[in-house]
Amino acid sequence: MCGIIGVAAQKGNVVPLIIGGLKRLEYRGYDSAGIAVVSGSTVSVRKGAGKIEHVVVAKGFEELNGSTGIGHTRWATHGAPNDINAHPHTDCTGSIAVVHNGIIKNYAELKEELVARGHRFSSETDTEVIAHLIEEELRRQGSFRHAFQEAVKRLEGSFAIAVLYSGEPDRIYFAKKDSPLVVGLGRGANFLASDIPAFLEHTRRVIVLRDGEAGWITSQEVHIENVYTGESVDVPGRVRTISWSPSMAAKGGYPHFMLKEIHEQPRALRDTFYGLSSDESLAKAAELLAGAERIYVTAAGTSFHAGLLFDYYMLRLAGRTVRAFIASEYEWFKGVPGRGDVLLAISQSGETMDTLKAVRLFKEHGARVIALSNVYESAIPRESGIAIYTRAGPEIGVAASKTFLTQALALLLLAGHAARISGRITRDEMAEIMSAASKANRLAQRAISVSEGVVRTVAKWFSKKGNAYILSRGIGVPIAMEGALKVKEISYIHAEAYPAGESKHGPIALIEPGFPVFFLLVDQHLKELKGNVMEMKARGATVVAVGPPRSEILSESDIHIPAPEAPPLLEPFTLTPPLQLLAYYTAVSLGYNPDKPRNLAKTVTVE
Amino acid sequence: MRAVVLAGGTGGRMEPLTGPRPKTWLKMLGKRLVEYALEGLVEAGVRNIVVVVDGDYSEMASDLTSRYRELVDLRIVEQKAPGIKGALLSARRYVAGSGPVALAYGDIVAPPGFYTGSIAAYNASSSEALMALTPVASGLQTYGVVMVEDRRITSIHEKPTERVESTYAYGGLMVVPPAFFDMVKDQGSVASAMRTLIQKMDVDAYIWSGPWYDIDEPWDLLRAAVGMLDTLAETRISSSAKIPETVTLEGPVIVEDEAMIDHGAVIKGPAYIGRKAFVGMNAFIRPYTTLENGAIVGSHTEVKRSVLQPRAYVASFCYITDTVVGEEASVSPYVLTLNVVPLVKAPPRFEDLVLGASKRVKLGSIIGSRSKVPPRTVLQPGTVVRYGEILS
Repeated sequence: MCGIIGVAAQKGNVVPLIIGGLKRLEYRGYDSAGIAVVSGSTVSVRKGAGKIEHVVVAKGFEELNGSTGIGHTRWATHGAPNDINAHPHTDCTGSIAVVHNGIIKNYAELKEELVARGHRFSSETDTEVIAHLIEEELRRQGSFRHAFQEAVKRLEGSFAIAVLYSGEPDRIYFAKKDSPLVVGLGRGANFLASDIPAFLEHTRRVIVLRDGEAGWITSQEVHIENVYTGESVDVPGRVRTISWSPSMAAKGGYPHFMLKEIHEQPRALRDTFYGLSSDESLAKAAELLAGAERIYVTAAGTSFHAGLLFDYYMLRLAGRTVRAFIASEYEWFKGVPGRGDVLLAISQSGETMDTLKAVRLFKEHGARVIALSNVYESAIPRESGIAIYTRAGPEIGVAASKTFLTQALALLLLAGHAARISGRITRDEMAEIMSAASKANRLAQRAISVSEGVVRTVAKWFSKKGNAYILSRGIGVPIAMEGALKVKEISYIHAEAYPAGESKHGPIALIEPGFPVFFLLVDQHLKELKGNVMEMKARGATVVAVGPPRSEILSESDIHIPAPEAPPLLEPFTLTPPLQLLAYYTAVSLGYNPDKPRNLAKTVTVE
Repeated sequence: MRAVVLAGGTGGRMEPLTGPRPKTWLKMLGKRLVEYALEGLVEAGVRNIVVVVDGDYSEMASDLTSRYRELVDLRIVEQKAPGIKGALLSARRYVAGSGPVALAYGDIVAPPGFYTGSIAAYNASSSEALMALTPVASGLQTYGVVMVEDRRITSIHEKPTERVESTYAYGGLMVVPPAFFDMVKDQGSVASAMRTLIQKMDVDAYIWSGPWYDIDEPWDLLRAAVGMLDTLAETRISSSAKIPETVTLEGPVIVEDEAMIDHGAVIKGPAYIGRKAFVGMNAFIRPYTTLENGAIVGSHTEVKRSVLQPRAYVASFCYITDTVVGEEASVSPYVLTLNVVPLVKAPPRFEDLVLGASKRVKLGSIIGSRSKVPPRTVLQPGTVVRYGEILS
């Protein structure tokens, strides 16, 4: 995910408008930023790595002046976040500048072809091919407009593009497919942006572009057509007036970021699956694991629970034992790891200090390190030998939601590959895992759809309680731990997770009539779980069953939160969303802001 | 944006309370049901509204016209054929041309945010249509159940008899292109027109997680009163209400203009005391009670979780709980309502069903409008007194 903006004004300098827009798009990416303006018939570009505020000053954005310009804020996917890979990218002549959000799937072959034709590339990005492709087409086509159209038609993958061309200094060309792009119609100026908040203070009249639409804006004109069919779009008929406040617009109409991010999980899972299916790092990491003497996993908070799922997956699929430990306890392992060992370090932000310290300790001992992060080239991936990335996009709610399930998916694929490489599973079994993993997004969607209504009501009841247990067995235990963490983090209700069999070794002493005990129904352990349910019932607990309708458990339960059927290994995708929603709706019932839990920070960069 | 509000619909399950008038004319917290949609749409920026009515609507037409004239271009249209299809076809010629139309059911109780949120979401989208949905806990078989994939609607199942993998009920609000009205004309039913819309166009889902109540049967008024009163944050008392010092008010309570509360009465919020309503000496109004305009509660009477429609009269020494009392109904002294029913007999939408821990639901009676209940009557749980019925 990246943010793009373009402004075409009748007069005056658009640089301040672009910088303002970039700041509002910062949530879409913040590892580098850039700007290009046309003045006279020259395109000038300034760009660099770092936070927007910093880059604006360091690279002198404000020294530029022009009435037509584009800007970009980056969340890297191809090429490290550095000055060269920052957008805009230009063609060989420097007369075409491009900003892009999305992934050009066929960029490697396009690049090869363009290099063969003599184009010189300076960055590692997929975006740069767009600039050279337009330059190439411009040699053949009579007009820039046609060159742009022909270039867009050759792009595969997802894109929202804005392009400046020195030969047409008052125009910004654009195209959109599978990545968002919005046109804003102002007075004396028109806008383009990835998202409405970027220009909401200047105009509320917008056209939200549909897939396949392309065209140009000037300060006076907006032209849109379908690039594939050539059909013109009725521009006045498409204009809508935004009534959202800037904060509502940022949340996409949801009351809180957390609810938005819970609902974004199907998309985040789909993006992560496709991102990883074409990622060579995954196979390299799996190879490392398959050849490792000992395997360690380290993480903190939600990421640790994903690490426990990895532990389970490795044992079940690859027959390997994994030692998972909480990152802040890394000092235990002084003198322990050896050269043949592998550490998997999981951190959403890639900046968690405790996890980073663990990585450094293991490296000092000669162990190899694999990082799993949601932020490209952040500290932990940079310091690790191999990095794998989830594609959850930025997560704004402090309590993790979509990043957990995308981590679980990445780790399932990693364990599957490791098992295949070490010969523990057959090719067919691997194909089965891949096919199941490709459906994780739909399972999560069904889990949200089928539980949200019930959870909303259960939360009203639960909000009056002070304590709860969340119990399960097998793969359900890490899910229960993640659920208990969510409940504690945002609804401030004391919740503890245990393996259900462990509950009678102590925790059950606290049970009194009406004490809420949640059971996560995992099919492999239904029989044993039933015994645990009966133990709790006998002591007057209110039993809440979370899972598919299993009559032998439901007959003994007081409340049922439904979840869809899931194949083995995929229960995290069906049992986690109901618990996330429970924590969310309970917090809302109690009048708390789930996006900003007290005493917590999104990225913990202290020990 | 333009809007069509469906405000017709008489008889059916609501008949004891409505008689010949549309159910959207019932009151909730001082507002007609239809006004929830009208106010929400006006707040969402809609300036052109067609209200489709039927039955005995003359009072409704003149009242709405006079009160909304300043705010919007309001047109009252009489329904020519029955049902929602008939209503939509009657509105069709007023919404021809280009530009989207908000289509709202007039029997939904929800705050304005439901309307402003849905229309804002439509305006920020590239899709041609949008449906507002709300997650519901129970009674899915009484709603249109909607399947969603990644904020897009993939299918709708009207009053499903089999389990559908979704808890999203259609919220009675959508934004559609005018072509939808042609689909309604060409298709057998509105439900099949909605299915066609979903097949042919991108239809966004707007998921509303705030209060939302579809008033389909009398018990729904109780659910709506509880849910809406739960959102009351503070007490608001009109300066023209008469409340002597001996009255006890506790918790959030709204007391409207010229309401009168007599000595010694105790009102425990959340509760709503409407315009010119009267609470007698030493009466006890317990949580989740609404008294609409001119409703009367006699001295020493106890009322809990009940809805009293305009000018309903409950005499002294009564015990009224979990009950709806219709407009101008008359309940004589010493009437008791009993209120405990087993779970299996509860109406399907009661959320208590989800929290089965108690195994029972509390329901009193539906006392029809203009009916009379004689002194010392004991009303069994779930009793329905018909419109204008005089119990002996």
